[in-house]
Amino acid sequence: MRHAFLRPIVFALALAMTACGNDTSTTPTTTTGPTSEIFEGQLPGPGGSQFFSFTVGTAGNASITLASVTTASTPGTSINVPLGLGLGQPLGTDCNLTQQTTTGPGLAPQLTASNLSPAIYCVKVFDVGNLAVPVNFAVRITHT
Amino acid sequence: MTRLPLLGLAIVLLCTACGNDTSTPTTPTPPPAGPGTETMNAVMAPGGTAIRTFTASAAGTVTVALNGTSPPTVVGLGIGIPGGAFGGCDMTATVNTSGGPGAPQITAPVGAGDFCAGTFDLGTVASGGVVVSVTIVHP
Repeated sequence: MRHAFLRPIVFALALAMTACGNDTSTTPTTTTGPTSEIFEGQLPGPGGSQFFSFTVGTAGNASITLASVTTASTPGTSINVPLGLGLGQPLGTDCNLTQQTTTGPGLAPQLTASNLSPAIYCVKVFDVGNLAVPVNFAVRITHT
Repeated sequence: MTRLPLLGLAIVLLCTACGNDTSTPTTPTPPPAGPGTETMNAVMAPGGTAIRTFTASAAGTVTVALNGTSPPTVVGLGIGIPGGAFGGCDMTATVNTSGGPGAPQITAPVGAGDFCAGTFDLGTVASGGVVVSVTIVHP
């Protein structure tokens, strides 16, 4: 009886603990979309080639854009020289192409691939007989 | 007589404890994307560049116009993708122009994605620099 005055306090505590017990903070959901990588390099001249490997993490599409071809002598100034652009998978010390095209630089993808399985792939840039001087190039690869 | 102050104190303490439940997650604000017109006015130094990046929300056509330069100077005008090259922009298409009214000097089909456009010195910019005005219209 002498602790009867504590009952309201205990009751309030119980109510408050119930009220505080549902602080379930939700973590923002993040969705993973396609990622873009830039492959920049230089072809030294006639017959030159370079390739770049990338990993497809989940099955999906890929697009490849030869976006820039410039010469070292005129930095910043583009040249419209067609180069070979290919997609494949690394094999030994090379890139074994499964599809390729010859194209000048542009801002829309020149190569696309559908339903790539998760694996390592490569993009290769190569001279098709048009190069007389070294050129710098940039390729954008968008993949899952 | 001592019950009410104790009860009041307990309620105050509990309200304080419960009052800071700011656990609402903040949603990252996505960068603005969508059709748009962007105008860049900048001072370009000798040997320099004036580059602006933008996002095309869908495939379409981009136009880049050099509205003019002050003082009148022929400069390089280009469009490309952000990268490690000259001025941070790997150029796809370039022209040499002093700008002016009329049709845009560069028209290019693009896919959706990030791009860059702007001017670069061709060796013609004087020591005081040149003011350039560039308008980019993108999907």
